[in-house]
Amino acid sequence: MKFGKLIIDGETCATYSDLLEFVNSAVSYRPAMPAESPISFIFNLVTAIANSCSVAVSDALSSPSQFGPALPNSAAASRRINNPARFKNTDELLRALKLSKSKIALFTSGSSGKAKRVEHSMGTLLRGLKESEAHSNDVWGLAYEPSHMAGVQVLFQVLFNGNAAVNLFGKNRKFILGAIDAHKISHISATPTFYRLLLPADKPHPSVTRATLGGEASIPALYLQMRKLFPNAKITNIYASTEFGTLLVSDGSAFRIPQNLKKLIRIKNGELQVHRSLCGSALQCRFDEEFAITGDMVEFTGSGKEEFHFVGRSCNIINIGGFNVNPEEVEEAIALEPFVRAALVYGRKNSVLGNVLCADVVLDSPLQNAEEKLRKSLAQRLQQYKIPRKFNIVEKLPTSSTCKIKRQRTYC
Amino acid sequence: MLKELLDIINSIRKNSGKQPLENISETTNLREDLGFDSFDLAELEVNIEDRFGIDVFEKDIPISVSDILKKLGR
Repeated sequence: MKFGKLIIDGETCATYSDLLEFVNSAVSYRPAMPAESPISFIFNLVTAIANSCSVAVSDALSSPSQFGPALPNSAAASRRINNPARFKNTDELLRALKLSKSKIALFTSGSSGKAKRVEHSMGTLLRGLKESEAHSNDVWGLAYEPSHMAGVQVLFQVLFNGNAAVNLFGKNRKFILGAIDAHKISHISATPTFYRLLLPADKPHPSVTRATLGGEASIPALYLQMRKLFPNAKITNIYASTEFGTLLVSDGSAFRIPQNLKKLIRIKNGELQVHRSLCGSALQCRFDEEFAITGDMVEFTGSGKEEFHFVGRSCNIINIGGFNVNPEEVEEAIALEPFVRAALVYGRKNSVLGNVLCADVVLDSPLQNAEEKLRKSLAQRLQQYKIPRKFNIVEKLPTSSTCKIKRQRTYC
Repeated sequence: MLKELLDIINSIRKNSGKQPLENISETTNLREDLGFDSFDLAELEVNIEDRFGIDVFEKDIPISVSDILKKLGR
C-alpha cells in the first residue's frame, strides 16, 4: 500500500509518515481524549491502540466526568506508556492496530439522563470495515464528529486502506462543495441533515462515487436531490449505533435483515432489537430476553414483513440532526439555575434538523433576560447540540393526573 | 417584512454570540453572509414559522433572504 496524505484539515495536512513518527516517539497518551482536532484525535487514538492501552473518546465539549472513574477525570491528563511499541513502517503499525487488546470507550445518550459509556474492542469496531485494493484510491470526506461511532468507523476505513480524508465536519456549504472538487473526494458518510444543507444542487460533483446516509431517518425525496448533486454516486443508507456499530445497509430508504443476522436481529412490537452477542459492553443497555432494546421504531413497507424503514424512536431520546439528546439531561442542567422552578425539554419537528430542541421553563419569579442567562450557563455545561434553540417562559408545565410533568411520548 | 426578518436573524446571531446586523438585503446569503450553520437555520425556521405560520424550509433549504420572502409570498 502507498501511504501519502492522511488527514487534510483546512490548510493543515498530516501524512502517514507523520503518524508513524508520532507513534514511534510517543511515551505517553491521553486516555480521555476529546476530539479537539481530527489530526490530534487520530494520532492519540492510534498511539493508544497500537500500545493496547484503553482509551475513552468523546465530544470536544464533553464533561470530564463522562469519562468515568476508570480513567483520569481530566481530559487533559496524560498517561505514561509502559514499554512503548515501535514500528518499522506503517504496514506494521496497522497490523498492530488490528491485533490490539485496547478497550475503546465511546459515549451516547443514555435513557437515564446520563451519558452512556459503551466499550468496544477493535474486533467490534472493525466489523464493518471494507478493506481491499479496490478502495486504495478512495478519498474520504469526514462529515462526522471524529469521536462519535460513525466518525471513528470512517477513520478506520481511511487508515486501513491507506486513504486520505478531508475534514468537512462543522464546515459551511461553500467550503464543503469546494473541498469535494478540490480534493476529488470520492466517499462521504454523513447524516441526512448534512446532505440537505448541501442542496440545492447548483452543479454536479462527479468525483463522489459513494454517498452514505445514517444517523437519522431519511426520506426518498432527499435521494432524488442527492442524485443531482452526486450523479456518479451509489447512494446507500446505513443503520448503525454507538452500541452495535454498523448493522444494516440498504440501497434505498428500506432495510431488510440480512440472512446471516436473521437470528440476531428481530423486530418486536415495531421496534428493532439486537442480540446481546452483537453489542459492545454497554453497562446500561436494556434487554428483552437476550435482545437489546434499541428504541428505534420501524414500519414495514409493502405487503411483506421483509422490508422496513425507520420512523423514529420509542423512548425519550430526541434525534437532533443525527445527534442523540436525552431531554432529562438538559432539564437537569436547566434546573441547576437558582431562578428556575421547573423545565420541560422536548423535540419539535423541524425541516432542517428533523427535530429542534425546545424548552418550556417556569421561573421562580419574573426575571429580565432569563433566556439569555440560561443560554450562557448551559453553554458551560452542555455540548452545543444539547442547548435548546427555543425557550418559552411559561407559568406552569402540563401535568398528568398524578401531578407528574407530562412528557409527550411521540416518535421523534 | 425585511425588518421583521432582520429582527429574527439578529436574535439568532445574539444567541450565538455574534454582533447584530444593521441591515440585510434580498441577496443576503444565509450561510455564507450570515454564517448560519444547521442549528442556526433550524432556529430560523422555528422563529419564522412562529411569526408567519409558514414553514419556509419544508420543501428545500432557502439560500438567500429573497428565497424566504418568495416563500412567504411577499
